[in-house]
Amino acid sequence: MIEAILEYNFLQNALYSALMASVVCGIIGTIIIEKNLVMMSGGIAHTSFGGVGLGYYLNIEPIFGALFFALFSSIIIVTIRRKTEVHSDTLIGIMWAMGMAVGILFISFMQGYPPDMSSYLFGDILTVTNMDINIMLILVVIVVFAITSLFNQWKSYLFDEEFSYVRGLNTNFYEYFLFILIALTVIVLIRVTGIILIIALLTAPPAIARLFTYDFKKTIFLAIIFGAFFSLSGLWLSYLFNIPSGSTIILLIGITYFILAFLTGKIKCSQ
Amino acid sequence: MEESVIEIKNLNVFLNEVPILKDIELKVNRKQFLAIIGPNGGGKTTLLKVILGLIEPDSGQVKIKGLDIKEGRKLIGYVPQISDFDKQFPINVKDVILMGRISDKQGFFHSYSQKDINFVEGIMKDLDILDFKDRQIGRLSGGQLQRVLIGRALAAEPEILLLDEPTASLDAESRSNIYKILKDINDEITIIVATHDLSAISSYFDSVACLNKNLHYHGDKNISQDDVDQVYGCPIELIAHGVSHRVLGDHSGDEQHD
Repeated sequence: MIEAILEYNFLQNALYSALMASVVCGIIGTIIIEKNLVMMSGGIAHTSFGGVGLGYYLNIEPIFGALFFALFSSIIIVTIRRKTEVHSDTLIGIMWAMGMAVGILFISFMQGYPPDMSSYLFGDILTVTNMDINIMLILVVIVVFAITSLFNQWKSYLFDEEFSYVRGLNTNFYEYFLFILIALTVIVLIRVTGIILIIALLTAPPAIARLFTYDFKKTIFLAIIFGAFFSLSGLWLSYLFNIPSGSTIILLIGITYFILAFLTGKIKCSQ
Repeated sequence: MEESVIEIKNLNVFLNEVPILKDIELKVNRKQFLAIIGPNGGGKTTLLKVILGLIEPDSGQVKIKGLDIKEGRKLIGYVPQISDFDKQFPINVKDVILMGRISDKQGFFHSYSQKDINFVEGIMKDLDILDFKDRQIGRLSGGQLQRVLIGRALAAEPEILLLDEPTASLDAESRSNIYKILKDINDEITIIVATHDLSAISSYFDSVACLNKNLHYHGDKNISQDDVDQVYGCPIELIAHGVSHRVLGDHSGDEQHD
């Protein structure tokens, strides 16, 4: 496979995108599982499908449409969550389905044969283009810089929002910023695992990392390493057996989580 | 005339048009050790959160050392209820206490200075939690975690300490341990404790306010039976808590009654 990687541009792109996905998954995934925002992230991911549809319909790059929808929905979710007493769950459920509905509607408006949506829904890492790589790189740099440059403040915000607010941190800013970062992360992951499988790639690597450490920073680093290991081995398996890459990666990492959780005693057999 | 650090005038808070706090008037002097007692749902936490600027009052005025809340709360160390915490959060004792050093002043790529670390280690030593500074917070007992949260509040070098139910769900020994610590801290710092634990009031606090929507407070620890009856609704509940007006008076060694 090494020669193939050197030879084929599409394999190089697959490799780069898998590595970049692991980095953002490690960082944002760790944050969303600690902050209980997993379903929220799933909601943002699914809403972005509306943007993919819009992109096809307007004949612009679907990933830009997805980016727009993801950012828009994340800001709407935070704003509504702050201003009203609507339960977040309810809100996510509605946005989730509406985003998908909008996407399907736009696709149906298109003339001629509808495009194949499965690479956006389930991911196809072997079809990642140079343009996708450039977009992903920019988003990854933004996410990494945003978190590392304000790391202590983020940690305080994530651990105890009220205390941080009383100490003078602008928790409003951090909340909106976090949701924007989740939206960017979703876009990085769309081409790798697809909208439907994103949640697993966001949660499983940090969940595995949490089996081995009680430190926030170490959780992030371990999650990045696990993410990279599993997405590369998933990529290799999917290339070898010609099976879908997104599913391969997710199944590999999911099964590993359950085995390790069982072995380390986090999940116990009832006697 | 003693210097007042917190002054609340005519404070009203409504939640969905239901009054939570009504016409609250409160003046807290420097180095006072005040207990705010009252039944659950009586508005204790709400009152603390108003002082901290976490809840916007519908009317009234709060001054902290003559400053508005936004500026004044920087002088306050806040110790929230431990039940509100995600104890699984991957963070150790030292890192939690260091968070008290964070404020709005730090910029990008902030890291804690050696001075911060020394200061925090001093606090941990005082609170007797230095031995498990590397332990994840979920692996502490309730009393230890409470001391960690007090440590985090102290790390901000506050002039006033606000504690919300610091002894809820602690056993008797950890409870008196926490109050002893607070009594020491009180040499320098004004302390306000919201609690429904009446057992410690007599021996540690120098003043008591009763809160159940309305605040009954006379600036000392002598609360009249009328006040208590009004706040708790019925005297039987008080007896169940093991405290009566007479006990309060006796333990303080202070025989003056209203």
